[in-house]
Amino acid sequence: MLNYAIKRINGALLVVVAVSVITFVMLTQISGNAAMLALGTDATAEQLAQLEHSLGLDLPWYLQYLGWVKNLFHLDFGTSALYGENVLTLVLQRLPVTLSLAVLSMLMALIAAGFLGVASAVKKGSIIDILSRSLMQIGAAIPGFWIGLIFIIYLALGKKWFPASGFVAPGDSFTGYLQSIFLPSLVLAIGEVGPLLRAVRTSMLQSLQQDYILMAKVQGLPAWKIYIKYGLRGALAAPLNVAGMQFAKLLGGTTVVESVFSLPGLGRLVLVAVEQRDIVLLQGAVMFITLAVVLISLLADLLTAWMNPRIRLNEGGNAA
Amino acid sequence: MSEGKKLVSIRGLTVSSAHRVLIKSLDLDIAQGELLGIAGESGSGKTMLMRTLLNIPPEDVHFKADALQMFGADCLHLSDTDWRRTVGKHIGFVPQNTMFYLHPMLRIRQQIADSYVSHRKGTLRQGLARAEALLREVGFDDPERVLNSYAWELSGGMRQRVNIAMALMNSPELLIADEPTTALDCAIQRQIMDLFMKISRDTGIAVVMISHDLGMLQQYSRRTLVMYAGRMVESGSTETLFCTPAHPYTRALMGVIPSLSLQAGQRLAEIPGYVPDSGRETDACIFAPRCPYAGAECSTALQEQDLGGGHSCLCAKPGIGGHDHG
Amino acid sequence: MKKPNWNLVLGCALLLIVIAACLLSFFYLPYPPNVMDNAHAYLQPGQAAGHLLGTDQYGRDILSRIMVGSRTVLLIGFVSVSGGAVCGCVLGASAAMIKGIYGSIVMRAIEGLMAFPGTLLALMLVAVVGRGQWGAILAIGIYTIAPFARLVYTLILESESLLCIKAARSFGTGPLRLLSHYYLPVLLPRLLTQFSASVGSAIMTEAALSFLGLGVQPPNASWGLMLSEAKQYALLYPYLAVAPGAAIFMAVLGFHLLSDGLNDILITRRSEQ
Repeated sequence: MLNYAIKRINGALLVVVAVSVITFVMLTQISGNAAMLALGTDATAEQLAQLEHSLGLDLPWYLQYLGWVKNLFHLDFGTSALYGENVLTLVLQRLPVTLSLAVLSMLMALIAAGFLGVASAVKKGSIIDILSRSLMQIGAAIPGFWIGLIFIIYLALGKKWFPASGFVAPGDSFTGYLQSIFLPSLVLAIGEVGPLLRAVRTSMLQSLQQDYILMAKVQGLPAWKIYIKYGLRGALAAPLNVAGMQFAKLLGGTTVVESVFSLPGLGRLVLVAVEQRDIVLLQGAVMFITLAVVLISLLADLLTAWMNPRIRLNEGGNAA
Repeated sequence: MSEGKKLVSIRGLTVSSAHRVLIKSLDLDIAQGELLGIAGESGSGKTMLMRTLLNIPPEDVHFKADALQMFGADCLHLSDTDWRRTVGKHIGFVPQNTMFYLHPMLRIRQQIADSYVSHRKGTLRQGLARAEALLREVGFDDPERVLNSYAWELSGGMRQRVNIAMALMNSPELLIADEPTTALDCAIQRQIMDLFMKISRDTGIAVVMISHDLGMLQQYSRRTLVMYAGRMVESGSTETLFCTPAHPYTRALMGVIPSLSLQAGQRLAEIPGYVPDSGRETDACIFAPRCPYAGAECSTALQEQDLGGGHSCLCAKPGIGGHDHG
Repeated sequence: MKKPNWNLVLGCALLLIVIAACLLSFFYLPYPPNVMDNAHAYLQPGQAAGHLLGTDQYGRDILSRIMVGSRTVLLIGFVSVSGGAVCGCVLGASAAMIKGIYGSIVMRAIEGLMAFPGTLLALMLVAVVGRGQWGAILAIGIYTIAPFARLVYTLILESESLLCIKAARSFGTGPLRLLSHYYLPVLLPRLLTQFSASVGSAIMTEAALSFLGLGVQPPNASWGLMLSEAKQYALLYPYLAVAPGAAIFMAVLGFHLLSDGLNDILITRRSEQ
């Protein structure tokens, strides 16, 4: 396990380096001169040079990059030109909204995928299997902003069951909070359920082929024990890994839904940064989200490895 | 078969997959306390027979039977669940492959008492106490350690002992062992077989041994059945069957037992041809194409020949070309 | 073939509709797509003869705009994915065959690209290259590089252990010949399914970008943009949102089903034999 963890952490660190270089180079070197953006087009050449110098923009790119990384280590993500505030503060302000959406939608997707995946693997070829397989395709192909719009029209504005937009803090009203994030989470869950369902079904089908299932049947165990304790226990790793990955990616994948439901989350912050070309804000937010993504997927990997006793107990960690 | 009441009784069992017949009109009785050996090459249908009996058929395999009774229940009219409950309650199953029949993600303690608890024999605590006692009985000095292990932490022989202990959890009346020693080395094979004998002696459990290893069956079973291409070609007490085999196939099979009396340079005998996969639905002799004594009468419908003393054989010319193989 | 390949049949049927609508739009449109006609605004589907799917807030015929929009969608989908696929294949293949420092740097960068979640990379790229159709194409194209590079890289590494390839190597077969004669047959079916799936995802990303106002700019027609416009009038005129959303759904579903169907015939069946 230790060897595996070290290997995996090394890999994650390299990805973080790659991500930071990509973000930095793309946003600062390609997208134009930050000093020019700040001063506008009618600034004099001297003003420009002065600001460039004070921002360190006259240094070679790798020195600029190192400076930026050094600041990141001190949790200094820079100051947003648009809001005039520290980027980290802005990000942390909006994180709870996005996190709520990610958690609730993942819960919904996990419950649906778990139930349908197990049922469709156990009753392969049945109505429920056909239904599940249709859901995999439909869920992945349905545009979130469309289904979100339809939900708003019929469930929020029509039936008035949910608010059409806005976010209610859980401290103000917990039911209001749940209502405000229910529809957007449902929209996200519809998008996420397909791959998860596929993972549960495939891995469950594999597990049901194993000899331990025969043994459980021969022992006359009740169905839930055969399929849940033996079948599902042998099929957990892959779907949990997929779920971890999806959860991580949701942190940066809620832009569209937040925009449809007018929620003040990370996605909207990124969108505003893109629209207003606030490069420092965009850079900081992207870096924060991507770091979180890498970290969460690392944890998900370690968790699934740890759940498999063969990897947990084997120092080599290469066993299947 | 005067040994007592019948535990299992099958009449006219035919098993077929989507495309072909696997087992054709087979009769089988298992009596209380007997030691029964079922012999045959791979592909002869012995594993299929066992899986039908235990109601764990592979996908797309179906069966018909005139009668299929076990432990007083008529399995033809039971639901899958009830049939398996009957199996789980009365039959202990010892698998061939020791590796994958125990769940790799669960400790032995987390799975060994499941059937005990499910069949309401007692609480989990009682189940584990029983498991500990049984593990001691099958030869572990430190059952606690075994209970806390995962299957893959044990050696093949140890796993097979765990499987046996697990099969005994519900005090079954019948143990079915499918090639119980195939994956093990010789010394362990012997220990495991001796363990079966000891269990049978101590508790009076009937043991069915399914094996391609005739030498082993000759040594351990009381009654032996020989299967070929989905048919029971010969059955009788082990002694009679090995001394005076009546079916040419049985004799040929005995010819392929490696024996220590083999002369240097002498080739191992082998049966020419292969076990046929298709055409098993015929009423004529299925062995005829490979049989050196086949004649015109072999292509007509066959009747089982009773040779007396419980010895019977599915051959038009029982005993032909026979000489003792001893 | 025992069972009909429903994925393939259904996928092709859906795509046929989309492609037919696109081709037809070059020769015939019920109405000019960008001409405003306020007298005929907000016609519900079927309310007026000729406007099959109704008209939008400016009185433009929705069917005509959907048909013209299919050009944009297919153009962006195919151009961006083709570009991304070519770059990805070249990077992946070169990394797998050259290995060493070059290979590991390339693959690290690819992994880095893959670590950006969902639309974040596309959004960032739009910020860099600017909004509009070509911005979207470039953003989606770069987004598509990573999966292709990884696919090609892993497939080549996997098949390196095949006996025929070892043999070919030992005869001194050059890398290009190895690629075209030995690796290509392994790669091609996988690349085809990946391509189809990627076009589906590209259409979805384009629609999302246009919906956010970062992709195709008005007055040009794109399905995502039509939805975004419909959003403002959604309460009073919900029908405005139906047609463009259904069109996106059909196109994306079509490409995904085609991908799965191809996977069934080209990969799964072959490995079963």
